Amino acid sequence: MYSLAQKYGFREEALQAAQTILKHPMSIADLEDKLGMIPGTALYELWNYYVEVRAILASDLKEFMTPATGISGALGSLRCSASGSSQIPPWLCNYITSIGNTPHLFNLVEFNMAVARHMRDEGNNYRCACVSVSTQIPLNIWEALASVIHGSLKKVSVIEV
Amino acid sequence: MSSQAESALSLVQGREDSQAKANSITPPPEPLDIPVPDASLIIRSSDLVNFRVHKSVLAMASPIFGDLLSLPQPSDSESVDGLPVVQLSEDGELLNSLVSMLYPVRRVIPDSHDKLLYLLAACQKYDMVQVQSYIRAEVDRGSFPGPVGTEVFRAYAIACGKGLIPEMVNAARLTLDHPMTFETLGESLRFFDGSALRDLARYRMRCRDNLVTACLSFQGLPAGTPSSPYCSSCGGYYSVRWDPNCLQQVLSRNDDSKIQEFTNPLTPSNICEEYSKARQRCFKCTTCGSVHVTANDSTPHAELKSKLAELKSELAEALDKVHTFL
Repeated sequence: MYSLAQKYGFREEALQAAQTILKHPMSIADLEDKLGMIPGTALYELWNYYVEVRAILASDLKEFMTPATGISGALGSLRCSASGSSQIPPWLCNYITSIGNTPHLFNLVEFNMAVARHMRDEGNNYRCACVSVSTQIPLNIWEALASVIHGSLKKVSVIEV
Repeated sequence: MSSQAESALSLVQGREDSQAKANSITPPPEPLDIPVPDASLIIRSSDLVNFRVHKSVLAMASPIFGDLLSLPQPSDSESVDGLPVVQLSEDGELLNSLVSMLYPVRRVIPDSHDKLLYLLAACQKYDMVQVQSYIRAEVDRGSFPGPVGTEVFRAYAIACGKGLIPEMVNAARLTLDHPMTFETLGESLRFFDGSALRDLARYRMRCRDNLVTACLSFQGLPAGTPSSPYCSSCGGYYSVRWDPNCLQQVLSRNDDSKIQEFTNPLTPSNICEEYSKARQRCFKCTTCGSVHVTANDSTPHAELKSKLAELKSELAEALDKVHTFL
């Protein structure tokens, strides 16, 4: 779809397709079957789009995790025992940072897996608030994160080939 | 041929200056200052450089030009100094090299591998078989520039696009020395047309499959004779022998074949290197922990060296069996 949209100069559709592609790993191995359908120039522009998205995401997500930003409100009273002096649980910090490098990790399954891994590691630690957190807090975190990421994606456009 | 005639074939005149390019009406290009004696034709490049040549020479080198020049010219066709002009799509730099290959003058060698490929493509287009063979022979002799580093990806893409089969096969093989990722491909991506990139990806997968199969079959060989050289560091003894398990270690570290092929490609050289590293770990003297690979380079290691050479040769053969196209 991206290839066709680029071919016929449909920028809006090309952008939508490029954003959809972000949900998948962007590597030669993962795209192998589709490589024959995308002209090299379009693939090059898609890669440039991906690089730019990653740079903006990394910057915006870093800002998102600084004190007094959106994530603080979403965390509410959550205090992870592994946090130390930081307000943000390390597992969450790692997950958010990883999205900047690999945007396809931004999905609910990966988010829940990050939560589950932390629960497994801290399962016997009754002092960790994450273990007994209400369902509302992860939901708030997810919504705040989604808002930042969607804002980041709006900053990047595709280049017409 | 005199140096005067040589310079007539060089790219010295006829290029439009920037002012002329800015004009909406393109002025007629200037003919070359020093004419080729008895020139009978002008070939003009895409950037408006005129080359005075002989019809007969061009016709001998290229049957396509031979046919073209045997046709009657239209009465309104352009001429310069009474010489008919043939407009070509190649640029002046390329034609300068090409024309220098037609005459007994100093050859103008392209200064990059990309330009060399475009020169070969021009030979192919005009069916200049002899010139193309000469260039390929010079490439084999190393007289012409080869692709450097990840330029091989671009070389592959250009060769594919221009239908230069030997160069494509050679470049495909050379890409195995590099990871094939978007980072390494970079701007070379723009040169890939049609299914060239997918074909290259699949070629690499087939190469990997063949190398793994060759490694596995090599493991079937019996282990070497155990020997116990003397450790000069601690006075202990350690074992030196061909160990198929080390090859298994190499393969198991590369087991996610699809991703690995693109990020960490297998080649005969790096398989042997990894085997040697794996073997080095086994070489550690159980008493002092030292690695003795180079400590005793005589009899015990001769068997290992021989096995490694045999392995490398078998792996190279396995790669040779992989076709670039299916």
